[in-house]
Amino acid sequence: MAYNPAAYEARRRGYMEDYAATGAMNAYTQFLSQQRGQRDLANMYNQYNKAAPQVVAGYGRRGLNSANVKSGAFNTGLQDFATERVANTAQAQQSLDQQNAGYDLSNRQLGARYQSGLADLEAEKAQQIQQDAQDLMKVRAGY
Amino acid sequence: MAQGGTADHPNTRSTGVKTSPIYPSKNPVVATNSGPSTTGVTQPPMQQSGFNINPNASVGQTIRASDVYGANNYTTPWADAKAAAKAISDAALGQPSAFQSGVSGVGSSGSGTATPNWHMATIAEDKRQFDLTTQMNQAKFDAEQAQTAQGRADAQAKYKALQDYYNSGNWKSGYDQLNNIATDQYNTGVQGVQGTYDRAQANLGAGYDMAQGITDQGYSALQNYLQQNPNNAYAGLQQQVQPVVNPMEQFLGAYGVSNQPVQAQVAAEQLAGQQGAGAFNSLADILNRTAQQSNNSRMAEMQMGQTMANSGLGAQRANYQAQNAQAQAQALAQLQQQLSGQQFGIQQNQMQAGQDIYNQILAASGNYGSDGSNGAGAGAGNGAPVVPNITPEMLQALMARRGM
Repeated sequence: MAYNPAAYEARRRGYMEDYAATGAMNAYTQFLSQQRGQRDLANMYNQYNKAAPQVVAGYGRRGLNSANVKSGAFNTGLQDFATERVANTAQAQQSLDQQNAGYDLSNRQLGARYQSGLADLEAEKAQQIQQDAQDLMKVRAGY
Repeated sequence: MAQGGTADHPNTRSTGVKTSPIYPSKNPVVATNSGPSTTGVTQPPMQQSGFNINPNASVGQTIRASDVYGANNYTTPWADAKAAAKAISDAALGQPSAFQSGVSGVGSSGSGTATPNWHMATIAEDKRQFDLTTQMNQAKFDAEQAQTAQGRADAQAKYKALQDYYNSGNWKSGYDQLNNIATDQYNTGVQGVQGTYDRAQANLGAGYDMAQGITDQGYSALQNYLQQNPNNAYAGLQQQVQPVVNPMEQFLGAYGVSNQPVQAQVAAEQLAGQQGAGAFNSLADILNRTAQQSNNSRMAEMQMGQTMANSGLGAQRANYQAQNAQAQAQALAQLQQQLSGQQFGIQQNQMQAGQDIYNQILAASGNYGSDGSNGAGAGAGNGAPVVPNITPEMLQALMARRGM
């Protein structure tokens, strides 16, 4: 097969379109995941913010927390609440970050595949040129 | 019935006894022969050379006997035979009296015993026949001589022409020209083969240079692309760790609750986040380095491909050069073989032509004698001699028979 730059350009265009489509889908998915994660995290914060006064009020109704009473149970309960909030919100944030990292990785993989495809295409072009050069020499030699 | 002669010399011919046609048995006519009479007759010298004359034979019988004897027993060289024949012919034509004088002793005018007329008539008839025979032989001889002399002259001229042509070597000129033509054809063929070889080599060299240039261009383009577009998709890929805080620290402080236990959880979550990000970053780093290795591998592949391409082109050029050289050698060998075959054929034809001329010379040399005087050398001649074989003894006998 003789060297045909148009054929290689068509293949390069195919690689680019594939990379663009998959990359766009990955970016959109990442966007949705980020949105969803951030929303969940925000909801979590809101819930914890709303729950904190209710927790204090509950210990107050049971007489475990007042202006003159500072029970150990109230202290422990309030520390547990704060600890759980830290753990849940931090883990949710980390999960969201890891999801984003996964999408970033996928995007980088798509880019790597695209670049590798283009490099393979250029290598094929060089090899085809080499083969055509050999055939040309053969023709010039009269064989 | 035969009479006459002796026991030593039987006479088979009639001795003159004739039978009458009317009375063959009763009245025979007998010619008396009383033996040879020497009266008035000169004895021929044949007797001295071995020819014995029958004394009981008649003169005519004696002459015939001498003819027979001479024809059977004598040979002479041609020149002598010619002279002898001429002398005999002259004697026979110019001196007929010699015969008459030879028989005068028995003729009617002699003083001896009378001879019957029929006997004289027989002698005259013999003489006349002898004269005719001699004249015819002479004419035949002269004609043969003339023809033979002309033939010898023609043959000598032909021989000389063939010999001159052969010695001049002109008959070789055509073959020399053919040989030169064959050599020129060979030289032209060699030049053509050399030209073809040179053109093939030049085309091959030009094709190689062009192929090498195109190949270098192709791989240079690949090299530029790889250098300008490295596959570094994982470069800079890192997961950032969000700092973990305790949003209820002030809230706890407001109720007099210690934040210390919550801080421990904050630290634990921060560490877990950092560990997770670290793992991801390690993965990204591995992928990044793999991509760099891949880039290096591609560059090496490009360089190996270029090297292999140039090596392949060089090997292919060497192969084509070898094939060209082999084709040249085969063509030259074929030309050489063709020239050898042509030269062999030319030389063979030349040798055959020379042999044909030589055979013609040999054939021509045999047409005018075999004594080697014509220069053709021994062995020349075609068998039957042209000159009659007459010995001196035969000539002497003939001359003696004529009384010379």
